[in-house]
Amino acid sequence: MTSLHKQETKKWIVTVLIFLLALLFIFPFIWMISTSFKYEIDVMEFPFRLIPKNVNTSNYVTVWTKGNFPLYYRNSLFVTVLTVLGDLCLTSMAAYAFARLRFRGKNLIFSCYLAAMMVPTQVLLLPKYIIFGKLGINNTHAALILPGICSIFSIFLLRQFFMSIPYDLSEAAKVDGAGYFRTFAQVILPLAHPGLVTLILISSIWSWNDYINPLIFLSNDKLFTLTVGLQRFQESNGTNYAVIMAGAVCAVLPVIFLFLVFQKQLVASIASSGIKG
Amino acid sequence: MKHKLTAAEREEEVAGYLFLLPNFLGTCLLIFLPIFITLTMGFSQYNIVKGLSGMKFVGLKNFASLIYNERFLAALKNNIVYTFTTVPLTVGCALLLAAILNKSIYGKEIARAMFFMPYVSSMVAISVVFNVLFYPNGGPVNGILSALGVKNPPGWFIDKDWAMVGLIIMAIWYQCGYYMIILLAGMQNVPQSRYEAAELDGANAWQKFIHMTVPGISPTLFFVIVIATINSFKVFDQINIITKGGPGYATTVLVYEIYRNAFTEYNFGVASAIAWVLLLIVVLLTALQWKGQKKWVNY
Repeated sequence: MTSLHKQETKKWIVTVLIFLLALLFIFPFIWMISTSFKYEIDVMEFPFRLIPKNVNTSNYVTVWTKGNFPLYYRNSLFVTVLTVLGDLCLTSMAAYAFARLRFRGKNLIFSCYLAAMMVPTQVLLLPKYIIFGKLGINNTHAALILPGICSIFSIFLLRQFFMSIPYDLSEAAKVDGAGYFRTFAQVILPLAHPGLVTLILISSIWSWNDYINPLIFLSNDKLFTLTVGLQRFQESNGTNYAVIMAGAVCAVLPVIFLFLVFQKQLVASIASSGIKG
Repeated sequence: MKHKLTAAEREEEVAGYLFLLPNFLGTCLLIFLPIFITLTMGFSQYNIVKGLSGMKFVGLKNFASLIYNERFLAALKNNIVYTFTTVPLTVGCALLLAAILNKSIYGKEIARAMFFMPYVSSMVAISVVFNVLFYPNGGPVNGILSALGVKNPPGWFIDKDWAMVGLIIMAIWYQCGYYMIILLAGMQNVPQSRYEAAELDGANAWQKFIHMTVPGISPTLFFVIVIATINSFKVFDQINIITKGGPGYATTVLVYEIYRNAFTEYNFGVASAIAWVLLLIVVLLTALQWKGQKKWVNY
């Protein structure tokens, strides 16, 4: 009885300590939100308050009315949605071929993919810039969407899911006279739906947060996505920290929301496969 | 081995090629071809006006020039310092957090989400926030340091001796939760019966951690260390946003030098040579990971 009691106390102490540490981890977020509601004059006061002395919502008005923030938002949304949809289509088809179909050269092609996955994307920026120049798509959203939909990481992720689907099911579909495309669309895809959700989550977070690609391939302010847009916004607002924080809050909000809703799936998928970098 | 394909097999093969084709074309154009261009461009001189047809083979000239390139040498040194500090510190923190979260505590999932939250956020937003948090005059971090009695709190990102320290702190905070989750998954595979046996022998929490948990997850731990090392060589976003490699050369790193040489100096040959260096480092680390994987799996 006392030992049980002692264990219970210990559990509470560890819980409190861990949550204090966890609070320290999200402190930058709390500070960011709190500052975004402050008047500029209160930002650098010390001791700082997490609940603003005077609440000021005009920073958000500034973000959404002055400058190109709404445009950046729309661009990010556009690029992310098209990237995710394209990634989903091409990747699921390729992963189906790798996971379920037999054809000559499969192992060779797959080995090439495996080797290419190792190459950091940062190494390929310059050649991509040259190729896009030839194709005439530098400074268009296509320069962001095209590389996003050809992700080798996504293929590996979905291939794993597709391989775990029992072969009896696709055999049964074959006996029923279904072609490969119908088997893919009506048997494999529905059964692999947790894998598809994972892919959508990882692909959209990655695309939304992507910074280096828009930095290099876009030069027109009107085409900027949120990441480069936020940097531009910061530079043009100098020391208006409260306004900059309001911009930062707007930039992270969609991803944080997605994360909080799908936390379980995301954590499970990262635990098993990592995330694309 | 050679045999004629039956009609059904031939049909399957055609289907396989068709399903793969769209992605394969994209991968060729956007991954295989760029790899080839990078590899050849390291040995060539590129003329922007003439384009790809004006590429001239110059042997090892680009690589030789790196030896005298002060910025590159500084970047390599900084990157190595960054790697040898962030990797042990991040993985160490992640390991401790995972070990504690693996125990029974209340609200495990909420705590896990809180530690993981930085990793899903945009690095640009994080950099913007940290830039103000670490603001030398009146920023909250220095405010706390002064309150704790530190006489001359550091200038962080504008001080050449402290800028890297600020970036390292940021990196630990940003990635810790991510590695924690991978390690936590590894720990859940360590059989509970082992711990129970150790408890009967009177082992305390620390002894269990060192003698049961760490050896039990050594393959995962090894994987995490290699991935963390590879990722530390890819660092770029926060550097371009906060320090631009400065003050001086204090925080320039390999990817930043690739970016700067390629897109502000238009020195494509040198940029590709640095890309080669980065690629070699990553390939070596990956090879190490594959070799180690076989050796370290211990049950």
